Amino acid sequence: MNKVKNEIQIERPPLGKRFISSDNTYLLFGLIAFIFIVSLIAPNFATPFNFSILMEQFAVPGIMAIGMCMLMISGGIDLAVGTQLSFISCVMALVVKDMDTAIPGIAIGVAVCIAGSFGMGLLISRTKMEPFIVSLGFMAIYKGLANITTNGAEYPIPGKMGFATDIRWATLPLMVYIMIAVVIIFFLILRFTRFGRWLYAVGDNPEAAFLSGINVKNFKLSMYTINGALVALATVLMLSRNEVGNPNLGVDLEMRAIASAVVGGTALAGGKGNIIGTFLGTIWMGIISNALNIIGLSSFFQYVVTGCIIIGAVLMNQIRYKNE
Amino acid sequence: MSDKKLLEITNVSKSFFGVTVFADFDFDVKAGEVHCLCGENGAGKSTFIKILSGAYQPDGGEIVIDGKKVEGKLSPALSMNLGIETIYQEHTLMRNMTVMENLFIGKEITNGLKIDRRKMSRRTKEILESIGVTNIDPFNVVRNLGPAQQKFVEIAKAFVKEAKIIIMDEPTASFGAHEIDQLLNTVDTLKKSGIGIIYISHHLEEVFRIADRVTVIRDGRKIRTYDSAVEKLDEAAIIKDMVGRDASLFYARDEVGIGDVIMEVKNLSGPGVKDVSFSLRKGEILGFAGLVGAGRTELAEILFGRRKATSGEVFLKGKKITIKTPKNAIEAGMCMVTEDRQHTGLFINQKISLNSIVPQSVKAKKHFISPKYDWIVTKEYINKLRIKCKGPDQKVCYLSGGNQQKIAFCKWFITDGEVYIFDEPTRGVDIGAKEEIYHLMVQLCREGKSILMISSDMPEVIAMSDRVMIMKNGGITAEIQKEELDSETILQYALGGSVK
Repeated sequence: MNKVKNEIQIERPPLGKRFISSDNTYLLFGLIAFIFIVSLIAPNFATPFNFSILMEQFAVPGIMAIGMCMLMISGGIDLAVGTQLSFISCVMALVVKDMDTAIPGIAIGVAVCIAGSFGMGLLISRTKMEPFIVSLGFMAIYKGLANITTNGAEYPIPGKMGFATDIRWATLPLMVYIMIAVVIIFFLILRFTRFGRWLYAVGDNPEAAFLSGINVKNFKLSMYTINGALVALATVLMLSRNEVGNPNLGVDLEMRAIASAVVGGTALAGGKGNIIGTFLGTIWMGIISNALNIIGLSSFFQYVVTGCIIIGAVLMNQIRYKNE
Repeated sequence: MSDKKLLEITNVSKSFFGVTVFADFDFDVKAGEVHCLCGENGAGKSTFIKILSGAYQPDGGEIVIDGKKVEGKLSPALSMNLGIETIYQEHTLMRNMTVMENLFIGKEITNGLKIDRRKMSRRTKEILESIGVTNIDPFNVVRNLGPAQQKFVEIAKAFVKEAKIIIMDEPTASFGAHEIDQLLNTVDTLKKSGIGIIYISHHLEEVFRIADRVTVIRDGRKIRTYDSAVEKLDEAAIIKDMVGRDASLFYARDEVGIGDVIMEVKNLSGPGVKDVSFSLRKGEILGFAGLVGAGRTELAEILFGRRKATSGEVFLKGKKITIKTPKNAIEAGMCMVTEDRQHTGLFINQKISLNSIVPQSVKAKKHFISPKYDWIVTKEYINKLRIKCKGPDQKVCYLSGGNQQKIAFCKWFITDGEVYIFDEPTRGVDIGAKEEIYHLMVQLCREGKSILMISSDMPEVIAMSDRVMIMKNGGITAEIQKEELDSETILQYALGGSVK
């Protein structure tokens, strides 16, 4: 056998080039263009005040979208996160109101939230049930539980756990920094750990992942549990901002999380998606409704526009992959 | 048997991308005749079926069905209309429908408005009885039936469609002895009713029991047709016809010094595998030959922890190891390239670098990996294995079959084990890549690794193996040393193989 060396002599492209060739460029430049156009139409859009409000609004959906993105890359999904947040907010508010301090309420709420997601993870990883259906069931269960705990009423807890909005640096509240920290941490996890690699491996082909030595069952379980922790964190921030436990607090949040991830390039089929894209997707979703508000479109229209944007984003992704 | 020819094929040939897989083939079936087609894996039997069922268009030649010459394209629909029904190796029934619904699909019996279930179930019973099956309830849902029963329903379905010619491709795979008897009786019944049957099977004992004529096919060419009315069918002659091959197809490998025993398997049993014992030496390639379904893949999967062993012991470097999952196997020092790279081997939509790094991250317990490390290691192996690609960031789905297979190798080379299991290492790979893969295997042996190679490619087994174990029905029937290796011996044990 002749041993002709036909080595490929390529170098790893530098960071800038890698970013430009990634899918996120479209999202980022589109976003900049969108902000520019809206600020021409509505002068009170691109103000520091509006942006700080915007960022505060991103925080909760942003954290939930990160969890959703992770689940979706691995081929899973969790439709229950919205009602789970409602339920946990009720539990936390109930305990906080009762004990008159925040810490035990938060602790109990977080524990219940993680336990719930752990249970769901057990069901999904140990049986062959579809995550879509299992989480749909949990969605209804949490909705019922939220109303059972509160009897359908609200539990206001003014001034008890406002820390995430009260503590501010450079006009931005603590919750914004927490969200940014979550984004950075998960970005690093997906990039620099084997957990991140396995996420894509399991999402692309669970059987091949198993045959490559990954304990797929435990891996899925740990992912749903981590997602539970993220939902718990989101609940704390939500309560801190709204100061009321309410069985409807998390309405539509699961849809928003899924939409953000999808706009950011995450595929429902698994194996595709990234954190930066999802974060940009969250900003997109937030900025659109904010811009439409400022322009003066009713919230009914906003649903229609948002829906169109989600479908448009998925369509664009498809066209791009086809061209690849 | 009458002399009326139901099917006559003359001079049919077919090539793919300039490679001839099927050439100048003549074949005919008479009414009420069982004509068996014998040949090794890859001899062209499936191509033959696909041409007849309309899935492939022949490049040239003439097909005459029931006295009518097929003009133009033979499409699957046309083939069925002309009365050709194929019973494929895999099950093709609707799993969630009842037996009678399956039988009468598209031909439901109605009483004007709605389906007449009573009449349909009566007809179903009659048809099943006419082919000698009495133990199937027409109202049973197909998924509750055993593989043999499903096969009978498929045959009954062909009967409902008034097939003139029924092609059966390995119908008795996964059958028990009793079921084989029943099937052969059914074939006999069909034959008596004037249907022409093309029976394809590896199992020569079945062929001898039912065949009126036997045609041997090798490398896409008809070798000879034996007529049982004229002469007694001779097993040795048929096997010789099946394997006779040009010596130039064999790959000449370098010899590698073989060391001490590294792995020992004692009385291993599990699903599909019965009481298998063997040992593997350092630097050795141990081939596993046998028919499809002989239990070779099952054995590999048990060794690698994909299936659970029910009894037996495995020793690696003198230490007893317990393997419950692939993770255990990898940690113990085993690697496995699976038979189906698309479904069980690769993450097809991911980058090459991700594919190549996953098992290593499991084995080395590397929790933190930088993307740069992925990139550099992958590039090194892309060059080592001479994988043709744009670089580590390219997605695997854009590579050719041979290069994809090399990625499946690459991930285990990076992982670095002691024992490599290769299940059909060159399936769906072109000649050039094949040779490079052989070269890599020899390279591994030179580095002191050991290889278990499962292969249905006879020249591959003979050229590469230092020793060959032959399996049949889940057990090992023979162990053959390199000096005694030849296709006829292998086939003899794989087909008949009662002698140990």
